[in-house]
Amino acid sequence: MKRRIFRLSLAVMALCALTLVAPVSAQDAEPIKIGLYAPMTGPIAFLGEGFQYGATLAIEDLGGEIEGHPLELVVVDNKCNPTDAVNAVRQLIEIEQVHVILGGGCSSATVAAQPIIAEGGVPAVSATSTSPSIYEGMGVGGNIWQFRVNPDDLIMAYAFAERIAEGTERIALVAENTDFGRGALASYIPLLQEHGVEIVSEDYFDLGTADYRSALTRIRASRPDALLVVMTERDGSTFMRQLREVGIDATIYSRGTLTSPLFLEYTADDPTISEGVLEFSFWAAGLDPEHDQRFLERFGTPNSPHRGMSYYTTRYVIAEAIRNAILNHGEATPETIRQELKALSIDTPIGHIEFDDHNQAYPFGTIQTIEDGQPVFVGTIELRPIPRGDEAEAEATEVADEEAGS
Amino acid sequence: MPIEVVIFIEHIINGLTLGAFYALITLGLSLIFGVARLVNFAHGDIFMVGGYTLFLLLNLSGITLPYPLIVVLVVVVTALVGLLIERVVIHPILNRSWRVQAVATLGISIVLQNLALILFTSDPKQTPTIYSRQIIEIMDIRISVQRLIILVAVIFIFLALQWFVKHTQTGKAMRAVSQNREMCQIVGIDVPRIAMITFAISSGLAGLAAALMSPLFSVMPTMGSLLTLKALAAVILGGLGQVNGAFFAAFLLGLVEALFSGYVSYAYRDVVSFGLFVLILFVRPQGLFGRRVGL
Repeated sequence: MKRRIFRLSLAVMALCALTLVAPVSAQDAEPIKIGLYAPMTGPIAFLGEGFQYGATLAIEDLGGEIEGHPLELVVVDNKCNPTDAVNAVRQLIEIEQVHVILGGGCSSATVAAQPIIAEGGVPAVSATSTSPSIYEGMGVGGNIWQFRVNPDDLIMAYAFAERIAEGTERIALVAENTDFGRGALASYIPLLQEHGVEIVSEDYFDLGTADYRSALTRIRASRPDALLVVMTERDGSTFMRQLREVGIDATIYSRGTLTSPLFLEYTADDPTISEGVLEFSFWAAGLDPEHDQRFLERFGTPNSPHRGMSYYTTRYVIAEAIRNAILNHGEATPETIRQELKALSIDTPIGHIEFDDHNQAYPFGTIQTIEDGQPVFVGTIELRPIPRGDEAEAEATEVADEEAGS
Repeated sequence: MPIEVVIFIEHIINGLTLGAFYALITLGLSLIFGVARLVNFAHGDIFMVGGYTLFLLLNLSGITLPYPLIVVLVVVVTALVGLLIERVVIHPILNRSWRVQAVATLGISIVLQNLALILFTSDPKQTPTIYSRQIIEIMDIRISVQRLIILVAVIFIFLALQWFVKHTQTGKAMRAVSQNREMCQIVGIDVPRIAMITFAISSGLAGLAAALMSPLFSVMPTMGSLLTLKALAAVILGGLGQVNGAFFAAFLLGLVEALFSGYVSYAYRDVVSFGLFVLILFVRPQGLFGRRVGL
């Protein structure tokens, strides 16, 4: 009897030992929650849907796990509205207890969520919010938890304003009435003026605007050489149709999405609507053609800036930080993920991602156009840190002094 | 002709087409209020249902229906949807307080929008027709044939509606119910039936607006939200229950918006149109065409 008990105890101990030394399977390991807050309903719900597509595909490409930890995507709706963005981020941090956050899809939401993210202590990565105001608060600005992969409008304006000014004397500015639209134009206006371009009009349109004709008639009467349009695909497609109807004959520059495959899908009945539009962005169809094709096959709808950026940010930036947190610290917690985001240095299809002291990355700037109804990838531009705040003022004074001296 | 004059004429045309658009929505909303004393907050969403019906009919696989037939089908479908909503939701609450009615119609609005989101996703759908692509150019003014169709259609619909309410038995009953519901019940007019017919006509008008306007814009789940508020402003401006007044108020709203955004700023056009609404109500609380009543 004693012998039997001894053998049984040995067997149980062996089993326990086996369990201890066995590799942790994806099912056993603690899941890692990636929270996504984006507009899932409301006038620009297509943006949130695109973010979900991108993050979902990234998680699928990672095999649904990192170092044995299953990945879980938790999606909440911010309606691209500051109040809902605050509630959405609170839900992700306090109720869902996510490890890392992706979003908010649009600048209005991302700006509003900053204090909650700083207070909640969970790293958040922006993939498309371009409002320059976010930069000041990130990293050494006080909020060490917020990171931004995409360049902001000021960074892009520094790179592209000179190019616009090359062939333009009079320009009309058009943007959606959001932090994205207003932030972009606020960045371009002083730089365009600095380059001697006269701004003949400045119009902001609410999301979901149906009729642009009155403003377009006024713009046509002001006879601009060029228009700079800052809009997302949905509003942009209606705007461009009516622009063609009114008959404005000017060069169209876009800082939005007027040449993306998604825009072409919205204007499929007449792909020439955006013919010749020159688009400046941080994502372009053709930057990673293989991925564009896989995206189309997976979801039956083409890739676009917000869909692509959501994918790359999840696949390369967030996933890499999680992996490094597990390998270097033994576990992925909000704090270890934040540390690894800060230390990240990685080459991706959208450029080299490494965060500066304000937690801002500098991927490629992209130029794209439409020829014969098809998007044509023109090339990339290197984006770099720009003077801001006091530094910008000092530079402006220096230029003014130099001009006075000469 | 001087360029300033050309631009002014173009702004007037823009205002008239915008007004025609508002008028088609406003007519239906005003009819329902006049007959059923109910503010239908889901009216813009029935317009949205019309937009998606147009999208489906334009994209039927293997069949190309002529546009006029599609317009008729959209009107029929939206009238049927209106009828269904009336039977299921409105009819049981017809004699309840305005609060119950407001919550019920807001509920319909939320359900319809989310249904559209589930069925069609949030991606905007395009519904171009041959007329929306045809551009006419007169004196340097370019306008699509679709816009001209809208202008003609709205005048025709207004006149047809006038004839209907004045010369048909149902129309006369609708007028009678809008004037004195209790008396109509006493003399044997089937008020719920008249309310049902009015709801179907009003929904059909929203469908007509969708079939005519959607080719110029995009179809999406939230396309009717602001529109309901604009149409409601026109109904109140015109004088509650005054269909003719609401019709002209819609054109006034369209012209003010077009001229303000054409000459001043687009960003504040809604502020101006709703500001005008508040100002007129301040001066004439009964609306532009309403009559003051004492209790």
